[in-house]
Amino acid sequence: MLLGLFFLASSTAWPVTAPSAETKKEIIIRASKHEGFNRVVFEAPDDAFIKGTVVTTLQNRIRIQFPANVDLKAQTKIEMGTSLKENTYTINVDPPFKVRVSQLSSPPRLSIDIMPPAKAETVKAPVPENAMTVPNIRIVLDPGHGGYDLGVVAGDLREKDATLSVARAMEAALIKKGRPVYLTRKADQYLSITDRALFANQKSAEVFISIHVTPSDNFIIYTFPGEASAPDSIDEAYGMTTRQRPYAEKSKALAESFGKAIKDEFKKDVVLRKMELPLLGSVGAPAIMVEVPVAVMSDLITRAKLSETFLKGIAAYAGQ
Amino acid sequence: MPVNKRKFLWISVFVILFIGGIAGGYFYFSKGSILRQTAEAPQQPDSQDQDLTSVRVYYPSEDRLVMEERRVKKQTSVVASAEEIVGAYLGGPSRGKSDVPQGARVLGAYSGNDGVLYIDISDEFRKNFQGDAMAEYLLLKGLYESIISNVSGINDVKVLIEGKEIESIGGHLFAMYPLKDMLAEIK
Repeated sequence: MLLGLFFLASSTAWPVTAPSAETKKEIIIRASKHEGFNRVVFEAPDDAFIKGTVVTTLQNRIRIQFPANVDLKAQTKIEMGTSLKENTYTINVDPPFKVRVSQLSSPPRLSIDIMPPAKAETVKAPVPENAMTVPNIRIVLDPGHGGYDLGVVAGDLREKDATLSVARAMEAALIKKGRPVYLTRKADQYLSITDRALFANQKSAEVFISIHVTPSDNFIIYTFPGEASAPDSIDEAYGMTTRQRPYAEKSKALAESFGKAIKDEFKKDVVLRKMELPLLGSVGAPAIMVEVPVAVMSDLITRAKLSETFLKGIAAYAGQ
Repeated sequence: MPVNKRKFLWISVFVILFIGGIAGGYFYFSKGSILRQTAEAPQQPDSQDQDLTSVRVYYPSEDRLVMEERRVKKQTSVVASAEEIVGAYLGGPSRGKSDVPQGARVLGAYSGNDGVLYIDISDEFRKNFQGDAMAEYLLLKGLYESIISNVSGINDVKVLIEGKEIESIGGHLFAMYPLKDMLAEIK
């Protein structure tokens, strides 16, 4: 809010190209029902407009942010609660749900399929007999990047895909053990840092793991610095990065447990670093960001070991 | 005839002294002008140099910042100086590998009343960045240090992309706030 006011006040001093009525684009919207999912399609005059559109899913809504203000022309009735404000169109959806976003051409369009989560993705499943090594705590996994944000690209490896595959493997293992697990994203979609943090806090995460890739040879584990910032610092001013403070010690313990599990499995050095990463700072739970070397991610055999190793790290932390 | 002889001698001495004087004067002045010319010759690049100034630019390279002294166009205003420096930063170092995203251009700089300098950069800065958290940190830190260490009267720096505020350049750090607090020392 403060930032919004600040930027509004400042924006009068110089030309900032914010979406305006002059740049209003006409978008055709239509909805259709299919077996197992609902489809909403937005048709735009050009590909660039579709590419610049950002789709974000929150707990009970889907937010579609167009690159400019739009004038929506509905060709069919939309049987869901919707709203349009300037360049942002919101569809209200009953949770739980998942989405599949596709960008298509000729004509340029954005297709959003809204569906209930598959049975395999339901959070609570029967507990196997031997599942007790993994703690019964709410775990939020955050596959880094997504959508147009590819992250690190090395040969065939794209960070956004690799992190998602590790998170999905961890999710599957945890579901098998009947543990509550949530993913910030389950598909190839862009998600802002703020939305990731909001999701983790909404789910009352007890452990938050953000998974990333590094071109470095070593694993790197980040935690948020625990020291109190100066009273006039930016995080105080905007209230975004203060939730982590009470969990600084626990986050450190989680990072150390992860580091040990990784070292035991991969025989590689693990660098523990403190950095003012806003995502970690905004999560009200023990939180770490683990960066996996490209070499480990690129090799499917070593990548397969990651999910098990990370779960060992969580188990070791919870057992302390 | 002794009187004529003496007269002749005096005239000869006078003529020799006169000719010697002219010759000496000629050589003295002609040599002096060459010296002046040679003294003036190096002044030509100096006058061109008056339009340039040295700045310290901090480029991200692997896991650190590398300082390089660069010559940029001398500017009188804060925003024009900042634009020159950011231009040099985005152009990458003169030698060695650059971790600055390729093709990024400075679109403008604006000075706020709050001492924050707003730097507007083309979308390539975001689009062509492919790095981990440390690389993003160094990219922003290098930009911040290059401006702060050369431009006076600036307290903080904020990045805009194509005139718009964006949440993040590379998905790890916020770009929607001024950079100073975000770029605290890494431990």
